[in-house]
Amino acid sequence: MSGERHVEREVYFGILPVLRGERQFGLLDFILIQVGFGIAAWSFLVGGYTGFVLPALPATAAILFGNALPLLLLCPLAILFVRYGVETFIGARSSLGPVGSNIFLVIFAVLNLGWITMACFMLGESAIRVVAAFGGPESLQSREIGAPIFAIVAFAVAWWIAHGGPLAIKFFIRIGVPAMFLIICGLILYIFAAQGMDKVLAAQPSEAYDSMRRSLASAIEWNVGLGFSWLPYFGQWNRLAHSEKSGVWGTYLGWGVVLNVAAILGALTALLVGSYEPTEWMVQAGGPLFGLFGLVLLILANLTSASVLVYSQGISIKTVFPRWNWTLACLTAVPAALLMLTPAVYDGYVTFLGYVSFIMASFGGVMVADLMFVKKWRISIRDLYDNDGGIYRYVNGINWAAYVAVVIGGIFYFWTYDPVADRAGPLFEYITAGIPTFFISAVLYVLLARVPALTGESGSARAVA
Amino acid sequence: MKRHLTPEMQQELEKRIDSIEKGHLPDPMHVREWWLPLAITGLIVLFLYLVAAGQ
Repeated sequence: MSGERHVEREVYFGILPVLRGERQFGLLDFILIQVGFGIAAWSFLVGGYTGFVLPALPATAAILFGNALPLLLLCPLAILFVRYGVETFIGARSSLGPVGSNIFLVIFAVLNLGWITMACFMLGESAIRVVAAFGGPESLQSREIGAPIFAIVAFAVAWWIAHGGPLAIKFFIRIGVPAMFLIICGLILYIFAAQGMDKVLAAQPSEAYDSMRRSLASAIEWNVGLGFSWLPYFGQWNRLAHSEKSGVWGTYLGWGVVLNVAAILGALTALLVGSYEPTEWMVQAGGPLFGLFGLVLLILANLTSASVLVYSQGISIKTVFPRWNWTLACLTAVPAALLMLTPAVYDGYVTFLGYVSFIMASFGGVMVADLMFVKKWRISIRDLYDNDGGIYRYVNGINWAAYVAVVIGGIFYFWTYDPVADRAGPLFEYITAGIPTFFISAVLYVLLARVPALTGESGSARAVA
Repeated sequence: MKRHLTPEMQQELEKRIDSIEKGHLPDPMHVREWWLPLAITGLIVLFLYLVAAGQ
């Protein structure tokens, strides 16, 4: 490989900062990429769960609010990644410290396995319904045997695509994104032509909570989890944006607004059919022919998203361990296959969202507060790449002020809402959990950043001159 | 981090850091350009309030 090609490869695989002249994405490209990556199993499922507990109008409001507000709160970080052309876990060294950023990477890698599982298992669910439609073997039609087999095979294909790098991903997105849009158009046709607006608005949720307030708070919380979940993926796309405005607007509009179309359609269809599972309502809503076509598209769409997730994980690992080869970096996604062996992880989607919500809301609050109020938008790129962390060394590589704020934010979250038992604390119905966790972590961090014992004496927690 | 890079990559990294430190950055975002995300979120909050109030 020539020297120039090698540098180009390292730029796009995440290690070197991207210079102004190398940026590829304008606003429209940005929105398309975000939507292409973002609309998959998770958006249909979160919409489906929302439609399971709320009627159409409140469901729509909960989805819009739950996704747009977290993205607005996180968007200042887009400026950091666009301005310096760095990936999330290199940029995070300024607020978390070099070791602290690596810990955040490990947390991301574990959660990313969950997202890969969601995409691949939904693909497995789609495949077993296609097998059933063609009268295939009974074992391959079951959730316990067929779905895991198809999910793991899909994961192997997604891994292979991601291993091909950005060009292979780009080619696959060209198939996956139109597939998603065909699904959405089909659903729109189904809802408005076959059912009519009045029926949609009058439909009642099949598993609402005891009170409307509790249903609304829970639905907002699930969507907030999805909204905050984009935090670790900010850097890898924003570093390629032409301008700070393209990055901020593209991130907000793509993940915070346009993405909601899929979730809202998921909610409306769940209300009409009484199931949150897209692979189920696809057939019920569309009949054998359209339903089968929809399932095939759903397979393609989830395969695309799974590939992007494996690629994201590989890139993030490469930024911390640049000498690892690409194959090894991608292999860190392989444990996801273990989570696909049973439907348990897939069926626990809302619990998973709860964990994502508290982790990403806390880290997001700290990182945004550090950038805006502690560093005051001034970052030293030289120190981000320094062997020992430079001025961002903190205490042995960890910004303890950030981690104390994250832990206290987490304690507040679990006091307000326990996602495992689905138990709501006294404040949950009024303020939910993820959004206040963001603010509590942010305020605490700003206060703790003044304590030298937590941040070190190197001036790590101050802005550069 | 630098120690994990090959000498060729370290040289390239230095070149890039110098370029960024000299101010070769993408176009900055002005405060007034936040109007779009703020306006859309404001409308969504209003929508949620009206829907919740109507239930």
